[in-house]
Amino acid sequence: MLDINQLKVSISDKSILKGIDLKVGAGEVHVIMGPNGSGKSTLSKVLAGHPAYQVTGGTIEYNGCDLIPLAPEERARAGLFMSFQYPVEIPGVTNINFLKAAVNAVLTGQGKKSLDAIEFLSFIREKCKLLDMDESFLYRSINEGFSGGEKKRNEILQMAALEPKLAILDETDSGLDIDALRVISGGVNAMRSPSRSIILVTHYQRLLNYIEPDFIHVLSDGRIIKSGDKSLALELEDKGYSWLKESEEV
Amino acid sequence: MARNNDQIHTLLEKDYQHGFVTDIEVDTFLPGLDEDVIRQLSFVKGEPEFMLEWRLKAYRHWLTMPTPTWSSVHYPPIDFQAISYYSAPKQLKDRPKSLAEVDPLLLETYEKLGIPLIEQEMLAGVAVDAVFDSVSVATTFKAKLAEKGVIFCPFSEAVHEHPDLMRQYLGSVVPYRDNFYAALNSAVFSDGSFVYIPKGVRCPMELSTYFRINQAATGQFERTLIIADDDSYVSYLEGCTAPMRDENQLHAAVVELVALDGAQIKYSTVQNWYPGDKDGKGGIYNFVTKRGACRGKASKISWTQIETGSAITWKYPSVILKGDDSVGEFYSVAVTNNHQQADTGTKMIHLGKNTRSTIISKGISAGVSHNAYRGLVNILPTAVNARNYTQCDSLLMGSHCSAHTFPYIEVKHPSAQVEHEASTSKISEEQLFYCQQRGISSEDAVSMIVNGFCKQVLKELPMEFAVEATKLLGISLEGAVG
Amino acid sequence: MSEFVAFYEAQAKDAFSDIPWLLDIQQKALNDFLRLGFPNKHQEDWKYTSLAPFLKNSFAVDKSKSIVKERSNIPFAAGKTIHFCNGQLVEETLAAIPLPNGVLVNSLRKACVQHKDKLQPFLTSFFPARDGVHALNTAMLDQGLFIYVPADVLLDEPIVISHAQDKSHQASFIRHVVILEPGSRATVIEDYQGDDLVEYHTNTMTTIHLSASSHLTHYKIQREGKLSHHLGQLSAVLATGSQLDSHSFSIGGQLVRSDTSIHFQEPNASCLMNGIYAPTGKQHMDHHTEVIHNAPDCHSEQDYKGVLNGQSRAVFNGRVIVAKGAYHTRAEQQNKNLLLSTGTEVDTKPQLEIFADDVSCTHGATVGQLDEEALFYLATRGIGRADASRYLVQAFVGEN
Repeated sequence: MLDINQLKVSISDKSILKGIDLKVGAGEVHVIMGPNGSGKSTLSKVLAGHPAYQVTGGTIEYNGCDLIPLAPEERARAGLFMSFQYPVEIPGVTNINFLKAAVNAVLTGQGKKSLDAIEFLSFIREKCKLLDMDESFLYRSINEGFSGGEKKRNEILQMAALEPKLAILDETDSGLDIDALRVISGGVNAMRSPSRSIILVTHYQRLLNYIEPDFIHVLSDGRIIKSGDKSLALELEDKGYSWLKESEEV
Repeated sequence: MARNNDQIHTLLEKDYQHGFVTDIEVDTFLPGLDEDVIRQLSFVKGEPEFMLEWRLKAYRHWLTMPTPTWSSVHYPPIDFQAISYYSAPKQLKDRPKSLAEVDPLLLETYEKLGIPLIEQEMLAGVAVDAVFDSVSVATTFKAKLAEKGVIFCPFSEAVHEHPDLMRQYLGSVVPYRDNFYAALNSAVFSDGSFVYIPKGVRCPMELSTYFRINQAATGQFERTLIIADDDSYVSYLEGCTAPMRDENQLHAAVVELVALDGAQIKYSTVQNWYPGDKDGKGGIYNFVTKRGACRGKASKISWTQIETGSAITWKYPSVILKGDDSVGEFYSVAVTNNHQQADTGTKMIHLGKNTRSTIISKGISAGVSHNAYRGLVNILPTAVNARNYTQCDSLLMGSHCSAHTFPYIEVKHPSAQVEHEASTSKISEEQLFYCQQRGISSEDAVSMIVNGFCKQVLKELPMEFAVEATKLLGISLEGAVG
Repeated sequence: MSEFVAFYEAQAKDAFSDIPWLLDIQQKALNDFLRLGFPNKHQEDWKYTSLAPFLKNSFAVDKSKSIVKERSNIPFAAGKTIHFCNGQLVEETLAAIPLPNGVLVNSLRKACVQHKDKLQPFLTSFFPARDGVHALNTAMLDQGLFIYVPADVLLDEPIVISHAQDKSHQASFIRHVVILEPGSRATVIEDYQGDDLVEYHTNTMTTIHLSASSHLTHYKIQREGKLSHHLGQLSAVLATGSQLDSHSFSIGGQLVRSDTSIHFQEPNASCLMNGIYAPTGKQHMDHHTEVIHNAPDCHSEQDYKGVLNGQSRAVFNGRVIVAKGAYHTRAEQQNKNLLLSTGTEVDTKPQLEIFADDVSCTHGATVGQLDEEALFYLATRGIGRADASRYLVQAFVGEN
């Protein structure tokens, strides 16, 4: 699904990612962990195509094609989804209108028929039920006045609606209480399938109690310094990131 | 970052679609203005004596007035002697009695403009008073309106058929002394609409007028007068388009609205005058005086406007809230791009008791344009318990344009409650990226965000007008879902 | 009007210094004054305020020493306050101020001689004279203070300046120059008062120059006599990372005009402007503020509240200009007014002129009256209307 080779990324001439190698197969759930400032969010944003970042070296292959020259919306229509760590507010634009535009943009981008108003309404209602969200929120402006938890649930709702092939969840768990975490994890787990890959970016091990990963990678100072399976998470929880850094130095 | 800005600009660079000229032969006065021209104008229109007298008084007063200079907009001085003050399609010496009698070329013109008269017959009740240059061509649906006693006819006809109403109300809201362009308009106005809604009547359909400036150097001086008698209701739509031109064209209209006890007038405008080319050449100068008088108790006047054209826009649709419990509303979206300049706003004058006014103004500026909101909320000492809410928001697209807000709030009675809020923002990169990551192209994202920004105003427009407004703003409207 | 222009021209010439560079400044300013004249209602910025009451009589500067008998002092600063009597500095009061090494608080006159290098650049017109009032103050340069805080010095004790007047038909022209070097911090309090039964005139201007990362807290208490005219100006230029907190409180004077002008010339500076004005009787108070964002990443916040009683009139004009290139500007402005009686009038015009796109600017203005529901609620709890009104007014201005 995804093949990243020696990826180097800068922002405003400051080097953030210094050579990332990562392979994600179809159906796999990968977790990226690491201390603050390690470049976790940068990796997510670069995969999504954020214009502020410059790729200064390396390649990203997504399902056999070169991802780097593609515009963000082209990547989205190719089935790539990113859930934002800090979802932005767009006053005056309702969630339902936005979702309909997005879903139809992706459908037509994939050569499929778009949904009309009635079809879309029943479609989105189902997704709302899945995430235990009240329908009334559909008529509010995007993220305006939403609590942190509501914003994150909105992100997962969008993921559920867009049915991506590769979903990157950037610190989805930050700022959530246990109940919200459960609901969101439920939503993510329901999306697991052999043809879908998920990359979870997180700071804490807690999320992994709810979403079982296949692989864990630790990012530090712009490089992946360790990869392992789910047991790595418990070791980190126990010993902290500095343990890894020390062992790296050794 | 640069790429996103480019995409924003591409959206706004859609070529002006309505640019073309009709080849119909036209009766046109030679350029120039003096008392003889006015007499000739009045004669050609067959006006009664009182009308000529009024025009001459206005003209004489105009001669004493200095040309206005506004600090905020800049334009080369206008040569009033270089304008022709009358232009009419030849065959209108005898007016057509039905659509079949109208010059097919003319009808074709209207089709090009997107208002095929024939199709409109089937539309659920929109009566069209199509104004071609300076003389009204056809008035449809007169019969249906006549049933209810509603008078909707060209101004020139009203001068003949309803002189009493004309004498009573003409110039009572915008006297010719009011300002330079009002005086000029009063002297040389060519035509426009006259509407009278009798007591207790709810006008059964939306009334509308289309304008068009065709001949080069023909100033357009339209005059509209709408009178809503006790407990009546009318919704009036004004939508304008104009062809491409090189010389600047002046448009100095006057609109007067009178609402009596319990009456309501809703006046909506979608304005799409030629804005000038990318370098600011050509384009219409739109200097309009629009004023509504809420004379009756519990009367209401609402102005809704979507302005996307004109090289220079100078207009302040206002409401004088004289009747107790009267209500004034102003909803506006003003878009400026390239070299356009807009200085628009509103004046709400509170005189009576318990009056209320609402102002929602949304300005969008791009290119190197200049967009200013200038408003006045004046609560006079007699205005007990007045309420005003104003919201002025500016959206800046690009780093070379400007947006200004100059709200004047003058309160002379302690029971007044006035609230004013203003904000300036841009479409942030983050918002655009968010939409793009969801598969929405940046062009569509900009449309969507602009639509969200203007929502409060767009929802005030009558449905079919909202569609045209939507096309103009280049976005898809939300009303359907939910 | 022209007779008064001539009168003040003569007054200015009388005040001409014998220091050449200062004389040069004064002469240029006098030319500006003669060219501009006193502002009138035809100028946008003076649309609602007429100087007619001031221009009925002439107000002369009196250079003789005097003592103002009835002077109310700020309690915590007793004995450490610098006094101006009828427009003239009382030199002795300077000596009583304890100052750490390097901090200078001198009379303007003395500073012109002893600290020319530090002072001169800041007396030369940084900005062109805004109007005749401004120009006249510069032409009359003589009385005032030079306050200088060297780099990294943190002054905990506030510098308190008390101006009092009690002579009839007398004018005082004051100029204070406050300079904070990089990393320094200080507090300055200006207090203006005078006899309620005497008609006098104050034209005062304080210019503040904040270097990188310096911080000034400034208070202005205007409680001039009820028959007086007070024309006050505050101009500040902020360097990178600097901060100005300005608080003003205005209850005195018959005709009051306050002009505050803040210039952000370098990035990452911030300024807070807090103001309360409470005219009553037939007082007229006009507050004009101007914040010019000429550099990116600066933050300005304005909060002005007015409580009007009697038949008073207040004017507020808050102008925020964001120049091209001043991206990431954050500017907030708020003006709220309470009208407590019939016959009061308020004219407020919050103004935004934006030439840059990546900015966040908001402004708001309200005019209203005390909430009847709230008054009723307090009444049901046994609090009489007068007291209740006071509580609500206090709550209203409490935020400032």
